[in-house]
Amino acid sequence: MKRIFVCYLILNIILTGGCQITTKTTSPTEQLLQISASASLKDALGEAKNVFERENSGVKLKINFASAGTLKYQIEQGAPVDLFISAGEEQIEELLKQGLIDDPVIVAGNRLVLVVLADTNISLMDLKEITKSEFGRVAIGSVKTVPAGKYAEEAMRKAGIYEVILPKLIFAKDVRQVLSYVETGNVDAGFVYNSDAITSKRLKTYVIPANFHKPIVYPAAVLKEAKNRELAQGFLAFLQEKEVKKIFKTYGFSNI
Amino acid sequence: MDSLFSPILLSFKVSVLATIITGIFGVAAAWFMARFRFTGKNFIETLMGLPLVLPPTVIGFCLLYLFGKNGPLGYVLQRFDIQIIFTWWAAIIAASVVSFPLIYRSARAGFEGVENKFESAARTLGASEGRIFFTITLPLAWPGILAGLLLAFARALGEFGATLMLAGNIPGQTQTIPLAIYFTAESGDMESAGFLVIIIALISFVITYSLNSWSDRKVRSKVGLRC
Repeated sequence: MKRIFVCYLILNIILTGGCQITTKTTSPTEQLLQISASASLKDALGEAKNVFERENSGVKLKINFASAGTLKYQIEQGAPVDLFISAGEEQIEELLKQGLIDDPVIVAGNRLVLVVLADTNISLMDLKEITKSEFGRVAIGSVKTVPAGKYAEEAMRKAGIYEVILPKLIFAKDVRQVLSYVETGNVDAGFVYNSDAITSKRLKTYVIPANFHKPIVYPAAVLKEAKNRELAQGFLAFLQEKEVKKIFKTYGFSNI
Repeated sequence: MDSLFSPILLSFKVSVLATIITGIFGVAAAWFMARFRFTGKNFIETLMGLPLVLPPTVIGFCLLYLFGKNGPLGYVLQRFDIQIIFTWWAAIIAASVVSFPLIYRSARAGFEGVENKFESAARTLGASEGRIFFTITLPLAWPGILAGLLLAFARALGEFGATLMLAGNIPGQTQTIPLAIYFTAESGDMESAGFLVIIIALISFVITYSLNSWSDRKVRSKVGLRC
């Protein structure tokens, strides 16, 4: 009997010690904003969050970082999200069609770049040069699943070199893999976003002209069922301010 | 390293609590299934073993549906203004569900290994069922249960897919070690990722090592008694 009582006691202590189930974890004066954002925005958005929380005392941002597909599914299943910031337009369009979000606003952009190892003597004047026989393999994200891969294919088609270079292409499962292929010398060049390229210090970057592909944008939208609608709209407006755009720029994102 | 401390602490809290919860339910279910026969037993058995064969992401999908606003459990919880999704309790639920089959099977094997004659003997001497359970059945089944608990803890510690779905990846709140490893590696922060990998490998090593040496000692002591 004593053992059961002791177990019950321990269980009680653990369960009540600092665990909160309800959203009312914040004090009455504190406001909580639940944001779902694509993983690629982690660093830039993290900094913007700190600035926003500093400028608005009593406001706390909870940001859930995952792939846009996962985030979209969570929203469809009724997850309590106030604001959704996506790395792609498809998920936003789908949610818009289902009537789950307000009209989206674009908060950031990105550029497609070709990266090579900085300490090689590879020097490119024109994208077409990667088709030359002396130039080795090129890595891109798998077109169907990696947005950067899709844009890379679009750019190469526009430049008229996709069919020619296809045998030399290595398809990676994500941008991280493309970067490591380039860094380890397994390929001569790789297509990634500018925001990915600057995470590595050993790479030289060639920016692909913007008219070679559809604009790379990061749309954001307030959820129709947002618990904290006003705050979400406030943060959305905040993201479009000049100082925040500057923060995003330091992480390789661009203005639209 | 400050931001790395939170996934470690969170993972520890989540895994310990998940193991306790899944331990209680698993042991109870195992004892029940080892003792009684009923129609549909095989069906229930299969259901309970499903988290072992389903990909964690699929489990996450199902849990998200269940606890979402429009799902059966979520709808009820909403009436009481309780939100599970995106909280650390969601992480605990996800970890419990995936580690349940491990403790269940181990405990069940443990209970089935307890010979009926000991319990019957206790009954003839007038012991209550509760006393029999705690003083005879449980201690004899304990090796199996403990092995199951340690397996469940290890599984809960490594849980990723279902946690990401149900609890989200919110640094400082629901980002457990596996989530942190994945997302730091994805953003190129290899030092942090490597550090967390070492931590989780260390914990898993210690658990497996102690389980092995403990079970070695048990075997040796049993052999010793017979001599």
